[in-house]
Amino acid sequence: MQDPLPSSEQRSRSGPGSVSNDGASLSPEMLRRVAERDPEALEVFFDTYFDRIYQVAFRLSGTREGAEDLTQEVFLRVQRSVGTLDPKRNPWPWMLTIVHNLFRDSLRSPSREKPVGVAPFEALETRERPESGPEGALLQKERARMVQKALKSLPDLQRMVIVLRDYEGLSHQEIAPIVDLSPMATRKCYSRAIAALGRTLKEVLQ
Amino acid sequence: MTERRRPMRPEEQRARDEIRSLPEETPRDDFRMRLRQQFVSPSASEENQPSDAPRTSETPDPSPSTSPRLRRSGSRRAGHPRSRRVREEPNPTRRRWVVLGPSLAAAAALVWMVYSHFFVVQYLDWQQATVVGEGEVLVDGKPVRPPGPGEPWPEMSGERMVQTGKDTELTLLGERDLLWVYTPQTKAKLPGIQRWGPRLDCELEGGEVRLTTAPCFRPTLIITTPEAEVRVTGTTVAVIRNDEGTCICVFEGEVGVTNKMRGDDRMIPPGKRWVVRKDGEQTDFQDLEGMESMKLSMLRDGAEWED
Repeated sequence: MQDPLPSSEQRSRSGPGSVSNDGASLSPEMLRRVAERDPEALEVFFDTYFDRIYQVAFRLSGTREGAEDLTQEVFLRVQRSVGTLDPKRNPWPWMLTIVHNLFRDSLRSPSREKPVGVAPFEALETRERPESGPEGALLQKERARMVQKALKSLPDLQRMVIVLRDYEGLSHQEIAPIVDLSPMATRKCYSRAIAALGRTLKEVLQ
Repeated sequence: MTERRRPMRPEEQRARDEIRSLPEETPRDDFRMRLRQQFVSPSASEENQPSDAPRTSETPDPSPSTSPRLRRSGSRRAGHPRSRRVREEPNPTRRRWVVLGPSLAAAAALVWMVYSHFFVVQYLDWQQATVVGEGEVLVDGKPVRPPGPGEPWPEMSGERMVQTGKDTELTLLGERDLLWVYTPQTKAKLPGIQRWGPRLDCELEGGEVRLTTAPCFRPTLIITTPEAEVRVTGTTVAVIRNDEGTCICVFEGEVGVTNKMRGDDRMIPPGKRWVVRKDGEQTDFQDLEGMESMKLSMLRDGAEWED
């Protein structure tokens, strides 16, 4: 099975985040008002993109604190340069590029958190996923925690590519300029990342 | 050029599905509201700081899929935001830290040096607990005569390369909280502490070392082999290095291990063994074998720690 794009349901979850379907979320007229720093338009802009930026930041950082720091910094940067927005163009790829740059810079800082392994490896009883009930909810929460931890154990660039590809539903062509790689290199990076994740999660979630 | 793609393996598909089905994290309302206010409020804008805002000619190109500036033809980085990253505004708090930072760092370093000198245990003196067999021991390649049980052993100190003969099992007591066993035909550096850190380092070239720690054991012990780095904080564990690779057997406590070839970090739970092969391949966790478990059990139970 080739590496298909996420399902339409998955991509639609991205809402304004998806590069492909973002055009309709904010009209050129609205973006023009954003560029003019119209407070009402800024509110709409913020409400449109806050959740998506936060979700991406959370997937990358793995912690609520990290996600808040990254999200705050992204909106600070956007706020500074929003006056130069081109209303005819979709701002989402540009915002993802800011996320990527800030994420990369934060990892280069001396206070960088050390990467952690996926541990401890208590096997989760998840062959059958209970659909409801407190036990099922707890199990799914624990499962998500382990997946997030496995994600965090990936090298930084691979983590970014995985998040953009599988969580945001972007194509390799869309990811390439964001992470400053060629589409081919992005695809290879994704293959390595998903292989590593597969190995890790095979042990954790067996 | 045609691109050859291999099909995704089942575990890769599963990993992808897991990522795609991750639940959304709900941001805190107060964080959302505060940031929203900062974003919308004119006071937070940079209108009065034109030097920090990107010039119109450097407008961030928000659409790589439609803009020629982000296409790959021509300069590879021509349209990348890295080249027009926005500088942060001068921050009085940050300036203050730039001035105070080095002073505080120097003060902290001084405090740490004093603390290390007086309070961090330095594993420079070892005693022989027992020796079984012919007692053939080489220290830095030279034969030495083991002293009597409980007597200090001046030749033994951190960073010395110790090698046991084929019939000699040597048990050493480090300070009062580390029991360290060289099994026959083992070659490893005796742990020595870094001068200014609570960390013990040991290099295992071949053979098997077993160790158990007292509850009061404080430092982190790092055992390094060509394939793996084993981090021990308080446990009973054996590390075996042979022709296959490195095997870590954890009897109690938890041990962190890094597969150096692949960069994988794992925590090995008690009762499990893990093998990192010389080529970087690694096994799943397996149960300890009966003999391994018994030897480590005897080591732990035989250790009598002083209060």
